[in-house]
Amino acid sequence: MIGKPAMVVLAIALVAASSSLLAQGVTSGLRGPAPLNEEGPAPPMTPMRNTAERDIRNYPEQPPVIPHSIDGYQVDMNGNKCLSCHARARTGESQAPMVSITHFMDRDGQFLASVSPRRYFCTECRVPQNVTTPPVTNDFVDIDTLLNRAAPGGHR
Amino acid sequence: MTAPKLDRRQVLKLEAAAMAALAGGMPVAAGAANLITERAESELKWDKAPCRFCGTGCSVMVATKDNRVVATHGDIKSEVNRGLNCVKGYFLSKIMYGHDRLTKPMLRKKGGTYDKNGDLTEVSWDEAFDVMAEKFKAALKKRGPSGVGMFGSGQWTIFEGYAASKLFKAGFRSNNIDPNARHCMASAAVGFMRTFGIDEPMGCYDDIEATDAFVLWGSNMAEMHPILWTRVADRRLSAPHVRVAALSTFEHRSFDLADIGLVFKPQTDLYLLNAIANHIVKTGRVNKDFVNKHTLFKRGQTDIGYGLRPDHPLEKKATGRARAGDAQDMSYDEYVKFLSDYTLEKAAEMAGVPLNRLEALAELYADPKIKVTSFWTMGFNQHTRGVWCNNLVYNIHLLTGKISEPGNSPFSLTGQPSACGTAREVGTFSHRLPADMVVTNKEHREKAEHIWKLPEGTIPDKPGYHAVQQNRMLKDGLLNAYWIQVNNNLQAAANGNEETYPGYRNPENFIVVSDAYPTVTALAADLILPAAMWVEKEGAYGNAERRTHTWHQLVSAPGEARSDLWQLMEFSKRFKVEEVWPEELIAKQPEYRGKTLFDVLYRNGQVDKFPVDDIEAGYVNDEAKAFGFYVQKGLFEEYASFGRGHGHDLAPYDTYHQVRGLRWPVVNGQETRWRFREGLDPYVQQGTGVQFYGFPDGKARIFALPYEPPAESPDKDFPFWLSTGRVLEHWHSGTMTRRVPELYRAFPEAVCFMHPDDATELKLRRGDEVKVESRRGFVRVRLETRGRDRPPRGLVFVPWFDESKLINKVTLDATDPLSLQTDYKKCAVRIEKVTTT
Amino acid sequence: MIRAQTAIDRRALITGRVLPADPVVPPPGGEIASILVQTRPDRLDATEAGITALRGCEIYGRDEKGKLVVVVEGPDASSLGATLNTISALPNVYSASLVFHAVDPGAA
Repeated sequence: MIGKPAMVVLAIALVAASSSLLAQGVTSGLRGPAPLNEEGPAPPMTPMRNTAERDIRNYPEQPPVIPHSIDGYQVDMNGNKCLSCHARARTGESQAPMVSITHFMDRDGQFLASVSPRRYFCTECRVPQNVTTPPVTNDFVDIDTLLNRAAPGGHR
Repeated sequence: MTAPKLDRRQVLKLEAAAMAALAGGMPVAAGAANLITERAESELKWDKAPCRFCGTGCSVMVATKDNRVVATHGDIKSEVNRGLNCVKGYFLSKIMYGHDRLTKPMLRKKGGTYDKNGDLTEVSWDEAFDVMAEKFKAALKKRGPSGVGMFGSGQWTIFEGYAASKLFKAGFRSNNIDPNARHCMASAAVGFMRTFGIDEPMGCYDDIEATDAFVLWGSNMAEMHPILWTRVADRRLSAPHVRVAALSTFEHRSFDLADIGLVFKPQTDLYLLNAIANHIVKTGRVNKDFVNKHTLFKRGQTDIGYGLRPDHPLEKKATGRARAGDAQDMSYDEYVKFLSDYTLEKAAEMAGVPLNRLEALAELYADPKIKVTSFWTMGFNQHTRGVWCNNLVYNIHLLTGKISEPGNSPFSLTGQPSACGTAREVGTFSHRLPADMVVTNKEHREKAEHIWKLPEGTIPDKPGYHAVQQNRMLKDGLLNAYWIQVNNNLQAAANGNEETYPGYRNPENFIVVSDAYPTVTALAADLILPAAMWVEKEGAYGNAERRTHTWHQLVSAPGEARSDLWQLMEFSKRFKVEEVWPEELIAKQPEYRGKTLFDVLYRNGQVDKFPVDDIEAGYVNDEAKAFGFYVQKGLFEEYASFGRGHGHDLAPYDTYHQVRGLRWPVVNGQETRWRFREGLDPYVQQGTGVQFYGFPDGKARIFALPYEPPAESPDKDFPFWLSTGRVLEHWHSGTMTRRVPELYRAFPEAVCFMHPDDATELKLRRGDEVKVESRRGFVRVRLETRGRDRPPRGLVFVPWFDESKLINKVTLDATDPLSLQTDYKKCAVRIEKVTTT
Repeated sequence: MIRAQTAIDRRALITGRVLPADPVVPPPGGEIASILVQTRPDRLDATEAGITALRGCEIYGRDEKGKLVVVVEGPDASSLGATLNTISALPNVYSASLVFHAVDPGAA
C-alpha cells in the first residue's frame, strides 16, 4: 500500500532534480553550501534514535539497525552489554529480539551452543542511528516494489 | 498444562510466519492471492562479486532483477569472509543508487564554449572528449610528456589500471601516472622491495587461524578490516592461550580485544621496534641458523628529510636527502652494536608506555614457542619514516625466523579493494611497470616494450610525478592537463587548501574528473565524466593476501555513465601516433604511422584477441559491445604474460569467474598460500628450506635504521597532535557510504575526539563547536569526549570521511622520502571554541 | 547460578563449544524459527516438497514468485541452524534467510 505513492513522489523528484541540475550546475548536498576553499560551521550533534521499534528491512539479508542508543555500552574482553538483553536466556525478561541463531555458526559451518566468537563484536554489523535526515536520498528499490512495477495491480 | 502451552506454541508459529512474510513482502495466506505472474519475470539472479570497499576482499552474492541490484549478502563459499559482511558490506546494494548519480558529462562553459570560470554544463561525450583531447594535445605541445598526468586508484579494476598505465607510459610517454594507493600503502610496497626484493605479503589470512599472538602496529582492524577482525576475535576467544597486542597513538575499538594495549607517543614506534629487536638479541633468542642462511645486514642512510618542497628549511637541513634510499653492508656484530642504544627501559620512557607491557610484547616476539602475526596499516604506512617501520618489523620476524609459515607472518594490510591487484601488481605507480618491474631499469623497460609491441625507447626512463608532486606541479603550472579517476583527492590529499585546490583552479590547467558522484574533487574540475561503478562493469580486484578475484557486469550504468575502462580506451582514439611520439621513435616501427593510440595499444593483436563470444553466456559487457572484442580478457591475458614464470603467475582469465579468487603465484592450477618456504611455494628451490628469491642471492635484508623526529611536533602555539583516519561505517572519503541512509545516520558527521581532561582544561564540553587549526588551515567540528576513540592527553583524532569538514586542509604534506607517502597521523594543531557563527 | 552460565560473559562464550548446551534446556520442539526462502519460481513445488520432508518444517506461506515462508520447530538452536543450512543447500534455493527465532517459554 505504501509503495505506490512513494514511487510517484520519487518520479517527480527525479524530474525536478534533473532540471535543477541543468539550471544551477552541480552541487553536493554532502558538501553543503561552503565554497570548496572555505569551511562552514558544524551543525549541532544530533541525538541517537532511542526506541524499541524495529525498522523494515529493504531485503531479508540486510542487517537490522539498532533502534536505541548504545552510549556507554561495554563490549570488550570483559563483557558484552548487548548480550545482557539480546542473549537467548535474557530475552524473556528483556523482551529484546534474540540474537539470531545464524550467529551460533562458526567459520566452518558448525553450530555452537552459544554465540560464535566471530560474532562477538556486535558493532561490526549493527549500528545505532542518529535522528537526522541524510542530505542525499537513496533511490534503492527493493524487490517487491520492483516486481509491483513489472506487474501493476499486484498483490500489495 | 498442555493446552495453554499449545496455544502459546501456535501463537509463536503464527508470529514467526508473519514476520517472515513481512520480510518477504508477501501476504501470509499467499494461497488466497490469485495472482498471475510471469515466472521468468520475477526470477532473481544471484552472482558473486568482491565487496567494493576495503582491501580485505570479502566476496558477496549480489541479487539482480530488471537491471537493478536488489539485495546482497555475504558469500558463504568465500574463504575470506565465509558468509559474513561488515555493516558497509551488508549495505552494498545501495551504493549505486544515491540520488545524485552523475549521468552526463559536464563541462565548465560560458557563452556556449569552455571557460575555466564557467558553470558545469551538460555536454555530449563527443564534445567532452573533443575539448579534453585539445587540452591534452596543447599541454603535450607546450611541455612535452611531462605536461600531462593522471591520478588513478587502488579501486580501479585490474584492466583499468593496466589500460591507463599503457596509455600514459607508452601512449603519451609520460610516467606522470600515480594511484591514490600512494597515500595508502606505498610505504608497505617500498618496504617489501627493500627487505625482500619482491612486493606483497608472504603469508595469507589463514595465518589468523594458525597463530598464537597478534600484534597490531598502528592498525585499527576492528573498524578498518572488520571481517578480518571477526577472524582475529574468533581465534582469540576460542583459543585461550592466544594473545592480542594493540599499539597505537590513541585507544580505539581494537583495544577492546587487547591483552596488551600500548598507547605510545607519535613517532616513537621506531624506538619500540628497535628495542624489541635488541631484546631478542640480548636475551639470546636470535635464530642464528635462519639469520646466517637467509639474511644480510644493511645500514640505511639517515637524516633523509621529510618529502616537503625542496626549499623548506627541514629539507635544506637534511644531509642524507639526496641518498635517502642508500644502504651499506654491515656485519651482525655491527648491527648488535647499533641496537645497544635501544633498551626496553629507554624505549618505554621515550614512548611513554609501561615497561612491563612493553616487555610482555617483546616476549611474544622473542619466545621461540609463540607464533606471531604482525598486522599493520596506516599507522606505519602514513609515516615520514614509514618504509623504515616496515623494514624494522621485518627485522624482528627475520631475527627470530618467524616468517613464511602458517601463523608466523609479518602482514601488511591494505585499505583499498585493489591496492595490491591494480596499484602494485599492475604497477600504476609513477616508477613502476607490471610484475614489480621499474621504469628506471633498462631491461624492465625493454621487456614491457616487447610485450606491448612497441619500439625500444618508448617508455621514459625516469619516474614521473608522484601523487604529492602532481599537486605541487599543478600549482606551479608545470602539469597542465590532468585526469583523475576513481578517487577524491581534493578531500584526500594533505594540505589541500595550499597545495591541491590552487592547482585544480590554476588557469593554466585543465582538470578532468571521472566519478560516479559529485565529490568535492569533481566540483573543482573543469570536466566531469560520469563513471560506471562496481557491478555496472566487468571487473577484477586483488586483495591484501594476493587474491585475484573477478566479477561479471550485472547491471547497466545509469544514463550516459561509462566505465573508466571505456573512457580510457575511447579517449585514446583521439590521438594519432604522430601527435604524441617523436619522429625517430616512429621510424623504428613505421607500420604504426598514421595509427591511433587505440590501434597501437589496444588493437595490437593481443588485447583484441578474444571475441565477444568468449563472454560467459547470460552476461552483458558494455565495453565488449562498444569495442567489438572481449576487452577485459584481452587486457588481463596480456598483463598476465608479464608475471607468468616470474613468481607472479596468474591463472587463465576464465578460471577467475568460476572461483572465489586465487592467491598468486598460481602454478599448475594451484594457488600459493605461503611464499618463500620450500614445500609451500613452488618457486623455492629444493633443499634451500627458505629462499627469499626476490633478490638474486635469495636473502632478505635486515636494516639498521634509527629513531628520527617527526616533521612537525606540538609547540606552545599549536599544542595538540592531530591524527586523522577512518571510522567503521564510512569508507575513505564517504562518497559511497554517506549516500546510504543507514550508514549516514550511523555516523553523520566528523567529530573531534579529545581526552575529557583536555576538554575540561580548555573549558570545552562535549558537543561544543571547535576550530581545529594548524599553520595551514582549519575546520569547524563538534567536540566528542566519549565514544569509540579515546585519545591520550595532548592528541586529537578527526576522521576524514566528511566532505563538509575537509580535515586535510589542516594536515601537513610531509611524506616519507622513500615511499613518497604522506604522513596523515602527525601534525600540530590548536583547538579553540567557536563562539560566533 | 543459571545467569552465571548464560551467554553474557566471555567465559561462557569461549567455553560454548564444550558445554552441553545452554542452561535452559528445553524439551524437544522447544524452539521456533521462521525462514524466508527464495527459490526458482518454476521449482517452487519441488523446493516446497523438499522442505516439508525435513524434520520440524512446515510451510506457512507460498508466493508464486518463488518465496516460501517456512516455520521450523526444533529441540535447540543448533538443530534449527542445521535445518537452515540444509534448506540453503537445497537445489534451486537462492537464499534462505532466518527472520524470526524464539524459545517457547512454556517449554522450559
